[in-house]
Amino acid sequence: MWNYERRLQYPVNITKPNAKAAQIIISQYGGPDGEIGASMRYLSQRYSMENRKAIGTLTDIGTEELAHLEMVATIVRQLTKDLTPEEIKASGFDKYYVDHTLAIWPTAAAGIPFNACEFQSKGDTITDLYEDMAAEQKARTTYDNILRLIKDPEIADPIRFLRAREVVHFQRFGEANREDCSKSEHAQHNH
Amino acid sequence: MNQDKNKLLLYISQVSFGIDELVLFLDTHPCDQDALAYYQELKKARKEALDEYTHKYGPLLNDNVDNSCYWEWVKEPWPWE
Amino acid sequence: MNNMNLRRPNDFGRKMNCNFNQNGNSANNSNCNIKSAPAFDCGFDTSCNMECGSNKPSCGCDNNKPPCGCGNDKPSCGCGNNKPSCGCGNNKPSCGCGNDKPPCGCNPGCDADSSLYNDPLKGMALAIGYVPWQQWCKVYDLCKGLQQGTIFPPLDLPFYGCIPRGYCKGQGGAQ
Repeated sequence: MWNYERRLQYPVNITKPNAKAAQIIISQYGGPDGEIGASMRYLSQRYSMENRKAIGTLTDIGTEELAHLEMVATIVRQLTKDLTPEEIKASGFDKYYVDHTLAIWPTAAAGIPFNACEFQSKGDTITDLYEDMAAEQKARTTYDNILRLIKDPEIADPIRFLRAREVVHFQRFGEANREDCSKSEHAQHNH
Repeated sequence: MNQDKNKLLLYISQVSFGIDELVLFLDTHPCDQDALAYYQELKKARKEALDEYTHKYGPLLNDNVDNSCYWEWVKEPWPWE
Repeated sequence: MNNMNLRRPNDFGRKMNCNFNQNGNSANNSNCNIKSAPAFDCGFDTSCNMECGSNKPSCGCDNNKPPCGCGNDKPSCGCGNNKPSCGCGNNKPSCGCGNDKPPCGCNPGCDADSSLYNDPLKGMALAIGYVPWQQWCKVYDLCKGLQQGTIFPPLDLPFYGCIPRGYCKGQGGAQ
């Protein structure tokens, strides 16, 4: 069961439109290593997990990723809502605009729409936790790439926050994995 | 007035973030007494701040909407606006 | 978990190229070029000419040579009687071919200080990845915690704008 709290986890205040930046950052909304994939991955995997602490970790991080999804959408929205038609045409954003106007729709920067092939829910506790650790690294790298491409502090600041969260999540999944490997008989046999 | 509202909202974000971090830490360290104690402290601080904000500026949760004349939940700007 | 049973070279399923002498005997000095790996993977190139012998150790080395494998007290495959073990390190000679040097195939870049030789995870089960447990520590104050994206200083690992195989451009983003 989910509740919604009417605030962002970290403030986003972008004052200047920037279609090029929006086209890049939207990958963290609907791209292969973005926040929807992360959230759906963790929330899907938890049902078959064998370890209650791992279920707690998956539930709480999966929920936090929804909050991050909201932040990324906010960044893209603030970057695009005041674009002029000339800016839309000049930046290549017109390809997205024609199908979605200025709405937020989950897609990768290169154009592949979000789909469930972007994540796995394998049903083996150890396998799933390694998938999650890899996912956090991939997300962290994507944020690194965004920070390499975008230097505007208004945009870079919330991106930097989101990147820091991936580092912490990796540590938590790693801890959940250790817990499981040492305690689970199933895991010991499978190794 | 707006400044106070923003300051209080920022404080709520800071306390809530502390709790978010503690929740994740406690999921993998359920017996850590230091973390448990700090969590209780922040939980209390957050509740007080949330009550104050709701009373002065409007609800942050839709199960805590005060005004009985109008559904305030749809009145204020949303976080991305 | 690890199957360390010694196996005869035949069991590796690799091609064994034995040239026997004319009597059909595999005498002590017949030339068996055994390209197979030793009984367990030494982790380095151990292809070498080994001589067959009736009671040879796992690598097919001479009778009086211990099995292949690096280690302080084991000489490597194909070494002569008084050659030290393969592998570079503080108390081992440098790698290289020659009568008085360890056999070819050693990696001169071997570093005795690498985690292979000084493994803090020694004794842990193999084929599992390990993340160290985080211990509780003094946390950031609330304002700094939110600003940095974590309340835990050991997990505060910011991005410094480095491009892979490029040069570090200093701090990326706003701090």
